[in-house]
Amino acid sequence: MRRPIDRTGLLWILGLLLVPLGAITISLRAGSMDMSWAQLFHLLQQGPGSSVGQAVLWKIRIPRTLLAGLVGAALSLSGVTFQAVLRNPLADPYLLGVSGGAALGAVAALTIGINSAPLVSLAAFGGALTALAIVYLVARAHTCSSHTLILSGVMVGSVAAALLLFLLWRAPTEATRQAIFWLAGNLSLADPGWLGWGWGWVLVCFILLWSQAVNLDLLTQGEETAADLGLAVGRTRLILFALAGALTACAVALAGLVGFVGLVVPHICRLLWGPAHRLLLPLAALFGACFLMVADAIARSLYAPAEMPVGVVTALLGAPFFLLLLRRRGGL
Amino acid sequence: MIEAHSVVQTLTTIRSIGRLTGHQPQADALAADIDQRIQAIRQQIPQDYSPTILPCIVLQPLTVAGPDTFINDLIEIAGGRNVVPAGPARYPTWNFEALLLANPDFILLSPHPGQPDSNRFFAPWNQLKAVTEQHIISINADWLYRPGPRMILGIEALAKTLHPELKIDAPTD
Amino acid sequence: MITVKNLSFSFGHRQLFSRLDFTIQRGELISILGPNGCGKSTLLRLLRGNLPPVTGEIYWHGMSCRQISPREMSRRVAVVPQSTRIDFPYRVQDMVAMGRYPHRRSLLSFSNAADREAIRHALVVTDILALADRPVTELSGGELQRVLFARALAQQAEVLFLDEATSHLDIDHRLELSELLIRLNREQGVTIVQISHDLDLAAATSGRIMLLNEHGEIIGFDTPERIMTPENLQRAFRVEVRIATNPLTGAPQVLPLLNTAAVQLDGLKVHLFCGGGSGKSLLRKLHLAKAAVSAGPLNQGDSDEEVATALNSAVVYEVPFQPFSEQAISTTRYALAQADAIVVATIWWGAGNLPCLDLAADALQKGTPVYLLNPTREQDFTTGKAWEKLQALQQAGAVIVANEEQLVNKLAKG
Repeated sequence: MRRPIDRTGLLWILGLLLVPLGAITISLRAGSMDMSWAQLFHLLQQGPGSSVGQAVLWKIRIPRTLLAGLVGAALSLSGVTFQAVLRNPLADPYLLGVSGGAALGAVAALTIGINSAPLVSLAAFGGALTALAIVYLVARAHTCSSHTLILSGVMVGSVAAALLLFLLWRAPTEATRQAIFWLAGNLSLADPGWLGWGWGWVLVCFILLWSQAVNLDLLTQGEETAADLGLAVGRTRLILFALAGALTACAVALAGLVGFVGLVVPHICRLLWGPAHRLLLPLAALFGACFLMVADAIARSLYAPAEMPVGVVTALLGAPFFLLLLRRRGGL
Repeated sequence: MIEAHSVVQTLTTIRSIGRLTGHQPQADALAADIDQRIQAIRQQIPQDYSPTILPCIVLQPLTVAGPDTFINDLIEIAGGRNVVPAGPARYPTWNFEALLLANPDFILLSPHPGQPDSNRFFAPWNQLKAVTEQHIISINADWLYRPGPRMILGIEALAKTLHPELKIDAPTD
Repeated sequence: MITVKNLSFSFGHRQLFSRLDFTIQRGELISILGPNGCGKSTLLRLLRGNLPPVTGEIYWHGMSCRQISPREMSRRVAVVPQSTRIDFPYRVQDMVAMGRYPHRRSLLSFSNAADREAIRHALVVTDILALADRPVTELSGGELQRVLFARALAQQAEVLFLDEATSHLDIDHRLELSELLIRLNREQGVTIVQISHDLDLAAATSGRIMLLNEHGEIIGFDTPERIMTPENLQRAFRVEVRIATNPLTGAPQVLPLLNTAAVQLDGLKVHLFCGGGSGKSLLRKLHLAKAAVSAGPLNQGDSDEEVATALNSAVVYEVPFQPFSEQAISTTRYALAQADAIVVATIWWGAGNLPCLDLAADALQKGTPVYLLNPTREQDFTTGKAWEKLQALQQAGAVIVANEEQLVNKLAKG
């Protein structure tokens, strides 16, 4: 069943090298400051330094590109996982109360006057994982159906949203404004010092998730069939939720609620490369990273020096692309 | 409903409110006083030097005021130039790249509860003139963002900061 | 090989099995038959260890099900499910490859030679090799069913469970897979337990048949010849059948008798004494046979009253918790005078409805035939008075019938 690598295979591999390279250069070149190719290569060679060009490239654009890649990869991986485990095409990283929990954590921190980016990130991170844990316990997810799990998630999310509104109602206007930006998703808030940690976290989660690729395949067949095939369904589901939750929490902590990536990138990748997870997971991570890098580049440069919310671009870019693919392939 | 987007509009508004509430003499006197102090500043401002300034509303995310704003009017009267160009948003979000590129002479902000410490916030960016020359200035928000009589305090504080040679008394909190 | 001891199970408040004991030997080919909802699928899941029994224990080779890990269990038994919902467009060969999960060594794929050989073999014997690269979401129901079958075969387990696995197939593939099952069983000694709806096929292919009734009780677990009797099938499925011998295979063959719905009573006037649900299904059967039914006296709100009213029968109404009124009795008398036949259902007798039997006795005396549907002493709560009257009726010429089908047939013969 193994086929030799033929010409189409080579083209795919070439594409897989060129697309990320293209996305990275687009992301590095986009911004208020015009940067020619020559300048870009020159500045890259120079390394970090104190000139304005060096500062723009090394202190602003490279961290930003890395952050977009990190968040895009994390959200796509999490979306792939949730859609497979819940067997629901509408599932996204934020479905199981994760977004509500993270937002509540971050806004709670903001309203009590904590404003350092790392601490807000930590609060969001904690909120996301707490919400997921509550959903898991409430639904007794070891044995429940995916419908129960989704409903529990929506309920926990609603409670979090209500508490969030209450906090914002009580909060000073400054915190509210910051919270709104945070809720809309924003790649400029993160402390660059956390990038390394974030990448490490996502990489570890990815490797663990990839090792579960076949288990994910089995779970898409439904809980009973998966059990018939010998999968310890409850335990596997817990592991997968923990990993997807950890990825979402990381993305949310660093960039707020960037919408649409985790919903649509998995679908696009499945349409392009099929549902088998050992291939789908790495490709979705790669594609998600490229997608958000490009979307962020557009958000930064379209009205430069002003910056658009990146969520606007992800939705406006992703939805038509997805619909186009859907029409050409004739269905999911 | 009374709206005021500029200093001139605000002066008109002060007079109208005085007339409507039966305090016309006091209102006229107040407006005349403000007008006079504005003229005094205008006359002293050098024609050949007009420093650039970035008015920040919020630091995180960096939110700035564009040309079509009240604060922009105050800046111009005080002899400064807003670096924020016209755009689709009146109060756009900026990133540091835009800031480095604009490289304003002054960065203006107002102390708020819940904001990061501004000096620490800008310190890593020593490519900025405003940072190396310690031209990060903080003025009471009530003087800068409320179209009312206290705006003259904001204008005077700004003018004195941008042009220290002016012979006016800079107000203090 | 599989030993079930004292197995009980319930879903919420619904008791499904109580104290089942049976053994399945290695190399057997067994069919489980029974009406819908009797718990056949649940029984398979219990045997498989997917569901924990409420009481009792299931042993595989003497080892309790609870002590066998999921993966170990999946090496012992493969399951072909009823056609399932398919959400993701896996290629057929990827889907079949999932059957290798219990044997996998690598974390990411099933790629060793044994895996590939097992997958290919499964694709070939189920005749879907040509579909190997097609997405499963594009297959027909029958093709998909064969993919599920192939996946179970790829598991190479010593036991195969099939949950109505052939019900979606065309006759050719159904027979083909049945033959494949027999071959697996004969040649490779695979133990097979299948749930089936095809009585004839089950009788022709199985070594033993387990017949369940609607309460999940085992009516019998024995060779097809001993299980496939009219009495057993009547108890399990509530239909009347004859059993013939298939001239080609020698296996028992089920011939359903005239369907009661096809019996025509053509306006025959029947009065039915019933109540408390004892007449519900009979009312429906009489209605389908186009009899002109009257019933009563019945309490308002009684479940039989609701059915009778819904079927436009002439109902004599009565107020609950009171002795029959003069008016109700005279109306009933009038209905009895019109009737061509009178039926007394298997009612729970009490002081309240005792007058019905007197009314029936009067009518019998006047020459109207009376049928007593399976009267029993256990349902008499009048310290024997009802039973006496029932016996008196019988002596006076009332006819006892064992079940509703017989009754309708008797009514048709006049």
